[in-house]
Order: sequence, then structure tokens, then C-alpha cells
Amino acid sequence: MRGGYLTRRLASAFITIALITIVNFVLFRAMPGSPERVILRGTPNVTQAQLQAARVRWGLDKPVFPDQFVAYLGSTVRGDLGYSFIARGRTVTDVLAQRIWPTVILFGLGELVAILLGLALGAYTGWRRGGPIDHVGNSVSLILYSTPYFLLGMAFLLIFATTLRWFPTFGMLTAGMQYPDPWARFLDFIAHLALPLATVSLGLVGQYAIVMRSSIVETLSEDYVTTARAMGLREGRILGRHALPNALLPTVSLIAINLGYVVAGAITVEVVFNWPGLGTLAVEALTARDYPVLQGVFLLLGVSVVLANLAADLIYGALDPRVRT
Amino acid sequence: MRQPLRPRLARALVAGGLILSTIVPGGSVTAAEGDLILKTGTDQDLQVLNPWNSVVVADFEVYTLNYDLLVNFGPDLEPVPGFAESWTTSTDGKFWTFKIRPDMKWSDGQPATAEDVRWTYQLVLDAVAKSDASADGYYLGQGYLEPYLTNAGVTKVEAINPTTVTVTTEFANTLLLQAYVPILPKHIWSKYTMDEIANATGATAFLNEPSVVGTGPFQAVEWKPGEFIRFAKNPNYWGTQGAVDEIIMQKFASTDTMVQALKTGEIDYARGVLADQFNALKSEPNVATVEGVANGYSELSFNTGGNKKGYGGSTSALADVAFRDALGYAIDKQKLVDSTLGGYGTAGSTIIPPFHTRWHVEPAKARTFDIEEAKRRLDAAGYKLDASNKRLDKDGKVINLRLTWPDSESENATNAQFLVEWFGQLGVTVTAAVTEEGKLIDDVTGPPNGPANYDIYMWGWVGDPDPNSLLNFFRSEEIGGASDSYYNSPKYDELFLKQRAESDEATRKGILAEMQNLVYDEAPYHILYYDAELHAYRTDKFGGWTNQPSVGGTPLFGYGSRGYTLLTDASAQPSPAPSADASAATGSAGTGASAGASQAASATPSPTPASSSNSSLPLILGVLALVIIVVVGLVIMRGRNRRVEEE
Amino acid sequence: MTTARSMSAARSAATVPVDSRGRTLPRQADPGQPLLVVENLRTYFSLDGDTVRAVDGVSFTLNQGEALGIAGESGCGKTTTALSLVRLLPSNAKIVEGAIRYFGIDLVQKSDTAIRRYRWREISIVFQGAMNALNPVHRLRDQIAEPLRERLNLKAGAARTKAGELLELVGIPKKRGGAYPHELSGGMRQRAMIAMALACDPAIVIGDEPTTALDVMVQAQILELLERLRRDLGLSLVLITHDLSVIAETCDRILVMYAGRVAEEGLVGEVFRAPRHPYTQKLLAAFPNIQADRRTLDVISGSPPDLRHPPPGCRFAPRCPFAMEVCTEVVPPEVTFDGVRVACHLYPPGSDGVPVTVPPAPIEAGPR
Repeated sequence: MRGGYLTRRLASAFITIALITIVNFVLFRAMPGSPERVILRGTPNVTQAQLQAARVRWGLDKPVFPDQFVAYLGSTVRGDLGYSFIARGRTVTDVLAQRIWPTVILFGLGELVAILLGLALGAYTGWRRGGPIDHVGNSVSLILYSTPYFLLGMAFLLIFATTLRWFPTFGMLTAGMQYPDPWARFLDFIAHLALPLATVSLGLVGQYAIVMRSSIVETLSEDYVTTARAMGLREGRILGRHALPNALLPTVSLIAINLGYVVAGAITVEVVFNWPGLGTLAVEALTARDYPVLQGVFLLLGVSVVLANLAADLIYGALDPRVRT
Repeated sequence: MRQPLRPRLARALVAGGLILSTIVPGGSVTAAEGDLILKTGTDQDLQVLNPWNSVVVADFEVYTLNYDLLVNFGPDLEPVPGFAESWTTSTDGKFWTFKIRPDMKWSDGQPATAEDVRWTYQLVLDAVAKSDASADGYYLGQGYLEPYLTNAGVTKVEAINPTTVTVTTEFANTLLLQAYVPILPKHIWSKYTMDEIANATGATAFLNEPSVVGTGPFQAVEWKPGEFIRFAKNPNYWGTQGAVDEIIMQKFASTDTMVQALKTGEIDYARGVLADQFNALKSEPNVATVEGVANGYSELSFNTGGNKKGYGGSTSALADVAFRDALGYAIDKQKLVDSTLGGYGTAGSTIIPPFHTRWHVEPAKARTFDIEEAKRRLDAAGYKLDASNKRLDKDGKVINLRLTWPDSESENATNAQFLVEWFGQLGVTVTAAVTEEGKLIDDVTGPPNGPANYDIYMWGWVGDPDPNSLLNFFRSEEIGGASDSYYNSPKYDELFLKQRAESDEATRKGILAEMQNLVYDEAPYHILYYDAELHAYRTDKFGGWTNQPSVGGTPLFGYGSRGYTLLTDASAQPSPAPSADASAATGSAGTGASAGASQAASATPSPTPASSSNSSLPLILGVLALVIIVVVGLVIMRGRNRRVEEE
Repeated sequence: MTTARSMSAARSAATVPVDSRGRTLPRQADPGQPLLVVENLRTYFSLDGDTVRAVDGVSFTLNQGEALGIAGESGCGKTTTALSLVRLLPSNAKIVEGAIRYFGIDLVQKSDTAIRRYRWREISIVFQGAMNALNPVHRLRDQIAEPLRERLNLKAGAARTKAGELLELVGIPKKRGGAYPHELSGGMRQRAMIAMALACDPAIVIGDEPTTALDVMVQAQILELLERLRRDLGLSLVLITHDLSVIAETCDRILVMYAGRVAEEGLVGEVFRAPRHPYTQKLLAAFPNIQADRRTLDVISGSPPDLRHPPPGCRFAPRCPFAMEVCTEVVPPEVTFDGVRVACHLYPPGSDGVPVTVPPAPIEAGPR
């Protein structure tokens, strides 16, 4: 039984990734403007012969389907995503590898903090419906939920960096700094991480709190909660062991669906704080029309979202035994 | 199951104590004590260290820090010693002799000689020869640098002895002294084949990664692509270096963040500030703003081929000078400057921007913004209005012009709105739509290489210290290449060759004046405006900011490394500002100095900036307090529960 | 079954009260007092500004080893009465008056935290239709073990063993303990609920419509189980149901409620044989008699009163075939005859208590 669920989820994730890869290919071939022009961008006196040479060199002279497509699939599977148009000489994989960890750290931690805080806040306010904490918590959650990342980020930047000077304005580390020891480096990193992390977490917290709250409120009326109360268990235990696992189910689904939109937020937050991750890379590649890098970023982000959804499915399966059979 | 409480609490306390104990004696994390680091910010990507691949301004700036040109640019862009110490030319102007300093060294200690010049220039000549010989063409990297030698007509380079190099040109000209080609160290570069240098996508491509070896005042020692490049002083530099010890050129994804960083002192110089930010910075203490006149312009270009065979224009009117001229009276250029540029720019006139103070002339027969005059001229030229007040061309067709611009120049959308409105008043319908940049390049390429498929479009050009490059694309031989208006004037072609070979300034000025007026009158382009370059920088850390050129220039991101070497230590000067921390405790190290100085000057009582360990303390303490509160809370809860059960 | 000792400092055995079964009682308990005495209980709900007088003056006594059945229509307040015993009321409900004396300890006076002591360990509940009464994400044995660990402080291993024993006790094979609720049939879930209810060895088990959601065969099994447990363990039962046949089978005494008040109360045999209150008679008559002739059901016309604005006097008066003028003005006092307590103006204090019978409905001809 358990194995069947797992297999089904894995298969579905695999198929989705395959589809993303195909769409990736089609999308960038369908864009206006010939890639060979972009490669030779700015080169004066471009002749037809040069264009043809560029096409041959980049394999663009072959028919799109099946030759280019097959070549694309083959190289993607091997992990060869091509060369960046703009960062001359560096492979796309290289470029991505350099920029992925800052994003993973920022958004991994951000999601984690948001989930912990949001679920805790939502559970508490849902459990103690109507109290002053509930009203305050709800209002705060709604405000945070509706504030766009850019506004939140810039506000933090202006208040905590420019005015109060508690945190640095930009970057992941102080550029060019020589650190006397790893601790110093770590602390500088934490200082730089603080504001973007706060932006990401607070941007998400509101949403999770609201959903968790309504989830909990629903479980309040369930019979097993009445049974637990009848058993004389502590309120904390009833909330934690009975209400929460059931209330988590819709919340987990929401978090998974949300991950796709977090990607968009990633770009905004990274741009505001100049965080050297995939978000700023995507913006750079977009303005510079570096299609191979864009393609790589698109593929990477697509796959990440699929994997995150897969993880959510598995977690859901672990939480809810009814789904597994 | 449940764990006994005391060990849990104890562990939390121990962990907290450990963290605390490591913070306090953390100490400063700045670079070597006493270093003056110049931090500049730009919104352009720092992508390449191989000069042949340079495209954007930041790339050029990087290589002029690393390397010398053979001849550098002086305070007003006049030729000054660079790699070469001095030079002479033969009487016919076709043979140049350059003298190299005898004891000059590369930054790695190797002797820098005439052979390096010869090798570098020969590389270019070989690439050009290969390009001419092959049907496909051949370029070193982007191919931007070869024209500096080909336009100067260079045919031969020889190193007579270690301190003398000679250059032979096909015709007399002064362009050789403006060649923006960096002199590269042969002992590093000759290890690679031409393909490895030229072709950035090969597996063995030479990227010239740090540490870079050059003769310029600073060498790149650290490079985080897309983030920053760090430069250190060249210990063997032949010239004066100034007070700067290190340079960090930082890329910003958002100009808002860049401006904030300038305000806090985390950067000292910001390039590419937007108009509204620029206005706000004017009142910022310790920040100076500079409005540089751009060496370039934005234009409205016409498809002068019209609907002739081989051209994709929609109407024959486009090929008619009178039509284009009339339309010029319906453009309020000052309005465009005010609306699109926020007032920072100059209304356009001729194809040599006012930046070139020596060469720019105002047109003899300047147009004014006068809708009625435009209408009169259209009528006089034979463009009648039909029943619904639309202009007809000479073939009796309603004139409907397609206006476009590249998506990378989004401010043109504002310009387009105005043009549609103004031309509409004349009865000329304009349909405006943006085009993706790559496709647009395809569309505007002329015959026989491209479809020349557009009516009117907007884009911009950036020039060199010498106006020659801006004159190039009006030549008829550039149709199918760089020419996007397909202007075809034998007179112009003739004048171009004349000015290129003219070394007497006064004479050349006359020729250029004639060319400017010719193009203005015949109007293949209407120059809309000359953009302004908006930069800002702090005055409390570095002094000696000098604009290059002195009129209309900016201190940095000009032409060469001069601006950097002229900088002085602001706190070392006997300045009126009470900079008490000049010598002392926090030192002038890194960000400590900038914050310290801004502490003294600006009124904000700010603590030391967060790059030092101290300001992480409140954060850690806060977290620790939270942990303790949670633990204590749990202890109380357990106790209460126990009491209930024991009733 | 003995309960685990609480972990506080040891007390001398002499001062610990025990009941007739030898179970340890709460410190304040007086074993000489009856098991449960409910005095004039009033529980009101506040709903949209109105006050719903759901339980309005209910009194009864439960003795050790007894099974009391509480009967009545939906909305008569029987469930609310039962939930009031351990204060399992929703946030808009409140006990406004009355006393609930458990071995003399007034539970109404206890704080919300203190009342927890009495839940499950003294009084436990088996809910109706245990579809969701069991937590769908926990295994059976874990849910049964939970009160053992949390309330009795048993260690994990001991709790698991005891949980297995409890399952066997109610007829569920021990190895099915690893199942989730959705994997069990309705009957098995109800048995599991019973096992859970017995975990802390309570004095009283309340069954709130425990067989309503089950089919007849399973119903019989459950009732049989309850009866066996009561005999073997000496439990006291409070069975809430609208199904009189269940009460007839399982209970010693019956309490008939109408509109928040007690109509009639007494030994099952007595009340069923000779019901006095008109409502009780109608209730008994409303049940189809499988052996009698086929006829249309004798329904009680009308519907129960709106408890926000209950009628003055006797609440059954609007529907009562014997209603007199006094019935609409004065609340009928409770009078006891031969061990049966009744509140009806047909039986005022001092009367002989002979039941006044409601005539049966006429037989109507119909297809056989």
C-alpha cells in the first residue's frame, strides 16, 4: 500500500518534469527574434554568412524538430545546458551552480521560518478564537499577506538599513572583505541575511497563519476533538496531537501550491537586497537576452517546484493514512 | 517520551553561553588596517574580463583599469602618455614611432616592452586578415575593438627595439592616437591560440580570470561574476596612483538599493542613478551629484528606402527629404527631454553630440516645434489631405507609419505617445508597437542582408572620444551592415573619407560641420535628445573628484583610469568638517571609515555598521531570550498539569 | 483493574477514599454519599442574543452499579444534561444554577482546569456514531493508550499492553490495534470507543446514543457488550437515547425528559408497565408493536416548544390531550409514587398517583 502511493507520486513527478523540459524547449524557440542575431549582438557589419556560421556553430541550422529537439533532450539529460551567451566562456551549469545556493538558503530558511511561525500563529489564534490576540494576529496576517514583497523589502531596507544602520543594505557578504576567521564570516553573513529573510518570512507568514487558523477552526467542531476534551487532556495536547495533525492537511496542500508563486517573490526580494541568487540571475539574463541561462533557470525552477510538490504529497501521505490506501 | 527537564534547560543555557562567548571578543572584520577602498556601484552586469568580449560600459571601465592603451586620454580627452611615453609621426602622417619607458614592468614583475605592443596589434591585424579572407568573417570576441585599428588604416606594426615600436598606416589620420585597444602582456596571452582568445565558448577559451596582469594602476584580483570585481593596486605602476588602495565595482539589480547603499556609505560612487533619485540626492549631506552629458543620443530613424525594391517601408513618402523634413517641425524635443528624461538631457540637433565640444555645431537651418509650419511644408511638398483628414502620399495611398523601438529601451514608449499625437495632428497616422530587440535587429538590417522592414523607429547610439564612429553608419557602404536608415549620399561618403584623413583640426572641423548640416537637412534621422549620465558620489571619504572631460564629463566611467588615480583621502585634508575619527580607533579601514565619517558629518547617531560583529549581538541575544522564555514556560506548564492530576 | 498511583508523595492508605469496588476516589470524595446527585441543574445557551433554556431544573440520582436511561425527543436536553456532568459544553453554554455532586463533591463549583481531573477517570463518555469520534490520523491502540499515558502516567510499554487488554475486553482482536479508524467497520469503531472509555477505570460511563448509527444486529452486540461489562466491572451507566427498547433492555431506571425538564422518572419495569405522564404514555405508544395489529403510528401532534421563549407552566401543555388551565400557568411540582417521580398536574401532591391513561388512536383499515 505505502509503496504504491510512493510509486504513483514519483511517476507523476517524473512525467511533469519531462513535460517542463519539453515546454522549455518550445518556449524559447517560439520567441521572436532569431537567437543567432542575439549571439552576434552588437557585432558590427554582420553579414548573412556570419549569421549562417553562427547558426551552424550553435546547431540552429538543423530543423527544430526532430534534430534540435533530440539534441536538446540529449544534452539536458546529460546535464549539459549549453554556454551562456553573455558570460562568455562559462557553461550554463556553471552559472547556475554559482547562484543557486544563496537562493536555497534564503528561501529555504524563509519558508521554514514562515511555516513554523505561521502555523503556530494560526493554530493559536484559531484555537482561541475571538480573543484580543486573535484579532491582532488576524489583522497583522492580512496586512502582511496583502503587502507586496517589494514594498515590504524596501520598507525594511529604508528603516533598518538606511536609517537605523542596524543591517547592511545589500549583498550576501561584504564585497571583497577578508575575514580573519570563519566565525566572523558567518556573523557577517547572518547580518546580511537578516533583512531579506525577514521580508521573505513575513511575506509568507500571513498567508500560512490565515489558512492554518481556518483549518484549526474547522477541526474544533470535529467529534474527535470533543472526545479528546472529554478525556480530560490538556488544551495544549488536544491542539497539538489531535487538532493540528488534521488541520495541517489542507495547509500542507496550500504550502505546496504556493511554492510556485514563491518563485516570483524570489526574484523581487533578491533584486531589492541585491542577493546574488537565481532571482537576480534571472533578471540579468532577461535584460541581456541570455537565452541559454534563462532556459536553465526556467528548467531549474520548474523542477524545483515539482519536487517540492512531490515532497508535500509525501508529507501529506505521511500525515493522513486515509490517502495512502 | 518525556525527557527530564533539567538537562534540557541546562543544554540551552550552555549553548547560549557558547554563542555569547564567541561574539564578544570578535573584533573587527575589515581588510588590512588603513586601506582605503573605493566602492563603486553600477546597474550593469560585470560579465567579462577578457577585453575582446567587452560590450557594456562597465566592461570597458574594467579593462582600462587593468591595462593601458597605447595612448591614454587626458583631462579633456586629448592624447596623453599611456603605455607609450611619447610618439612622433612622419611628415606624411603615415608612419608613427612610439617610445616605451625603459624600466616599465607588468604587475607581475615582467618587463613591459615594445614587443607587447607589437604582439597585441598584430593579433588584431591577423584577425582582420583572417576575417577578410573568409566568407564567414572572423572577429576577436565581439569584434568591437578591431575597428579602432582598421579605421585608422593600420597596416603594419614593428618592434624595432624593446623601447621603440613603429606603426604604419594607409592614410594620414589622428585616429591611431584614440585607439581603444588595451596593450596586453605577451608572456601571458601568447600561450593561447587566436581562437582561444577570440572564441569565448570553446572549452579552452581564455577568460583572463584573476589575478589579471597589466600595466594599469589597478589589477582585478577577485571576480564574482554578476556580483563584483575587486581590484588591488598595481605595485609596479609607472604613474601616480593616488590614495585609493583597492577598488570594488559592485553590480546592483535595483537602482533604488544602489542609492540607499550610497546614502549609508556602503558604496562611494553610484553610476546610472534615475532622475527622481538624482533629485532626492541633491539634498543629501556629503553626497555630490554630477550630470554628465552623454556621448551619444536617441534618435528617430527613417527607412529612407521607402517602398523601393529591396526595402520594406510602407510608403514612398519615407524616401522623400521634404516629407522627413516637414515631420521634423512636429517634434517638440524639449518636451521629450522633460517628460521622458525628467529634464536631464538636451534637445537633439546634429549627429555629433555637444559632448564633442571641439566638433559639434548647431545646425545652420534649425527647425522649431511648429505644427502649422509642418502642415504647410507637407502641403507644399504635395502631401494632400483626403476627405477624412489623412495625408496621402504621392501614390495616392493613405500614409500610415509603423513606429517601433526595442524592448530594452522602454522609455521610448513615452516618446512614442507624443509622436503619435503630434504626427496625428498633421494627418499622418502612426501605429506604435514595441519589438523584441533581436527581432528588431533582424528587421532593420538593410539589403541585401536583411529586409529593411520598418517605417520609423527609435534607438540610440553611443560614441567614442573621436566622433568618427558616429559618422560611420551614414555611409552608403554600410547599407546591409551598420546602417539602419540606408542613407545614400555620395557627397557624404566623400566627406567621410576626407575628414578621416585630415589631421589639421580646423580643417577637419569645417568638414564635420558640413557633414552635420547635410545630415540634419536631409534628415535620415531626427535626433530626439542627448541623454544625460546621472552619477552621484560621496565627498566624505575621497576627495579630488575630477570630471573627464572637464565640461560635461563624470569623474569615473569616462575614458580611462585617470579619475581613479586623482582621488585623495578626504579625511587627511585639513577640511572644515569635524572629522575627529580621521586617524583613530576604528581606523579608516573599509566600511568603518565611511560610517565613522558619516557619523561625524551627518546628524544620525548611528552605531558602527553591521559588517562588524557587534551589531549581530542584539540579534543573538534576542533569540537567546526567546529560547529561555519558551523553556521556562514549558517548565511551568508541566508543573501545573501535575497538580491537576493529584486532586 | 487498579489505577496507577499518582506520582505525588505517598499518602497513608487509611486517608484515601475508595468506592464499593475498591477504586481509589479523589481526595475530597465521601464514599458514604451517593455516586451522583444532580440537583436542579440549569444549563442555558446564549444564541444571537437570546437565551436558550436547554436544561431548566433537572434533578436525579445515580447509585453505584446502576444503569440509568435518559429518554426523550431530539432537543429535549438529554445530551446537554449528560455533557454538563463533565462540563463538555460549547463556549456559548453555561451552567447557571444547580449542583452536580459526585460522592458529595460539587463539580459545578470546580474551575475549568480542576474539572479535568474528573473527566475520563471518574466519568467517561461514548459518543454517537464514532465516525469521527476517533481521530482519523492515529492508530487505534495509540488512541486508547493516550489516556493511559496522559491521565494515569503509565509508561509507553505498560500503556500499550493495557490497551491491548482493553481491546480484547471489548471483543477486538489485539492485532487489529494497529489499524486506523477508517479501516474498521462501524461496529468495531464503537467497540473501540467503549474500550477507550474504560481505559481509566471510571465510575460512570455515559453513552450518548451509542447505538443509533448502527444496524440492528450490531446494535444488539453492542448492547450485549455493555451489559456484560457492567456486570463484570460493576460500572454505572448513563444511557442517553430516544430508543425506548434499548432502555428497556439495558437499564435499571429511566428518566424521561421533555423540553429541558423531567417528566417522569423511575424503575424501568414500573414506568413501562404503568406510565403516568401523558408524554411518557405517548412516547411508549409511538413505538410500533410488532405483534399488534397493523395500524398507523400514534404520533404526537405539534412539535416541542422553542426553548428561547418556553411557555409558562408545564411545557408539554400545548400538546397534551389532558391540558387544563392550571397547566399553562403553574409549573407542575414533582411528586413521587411507589418509587416513580412524575411532574404533572394530573398527579398533584396528595393524590393517589393512579395513572391516567391516554386513549389509543382508533384503528384505521388499510391493506394488509
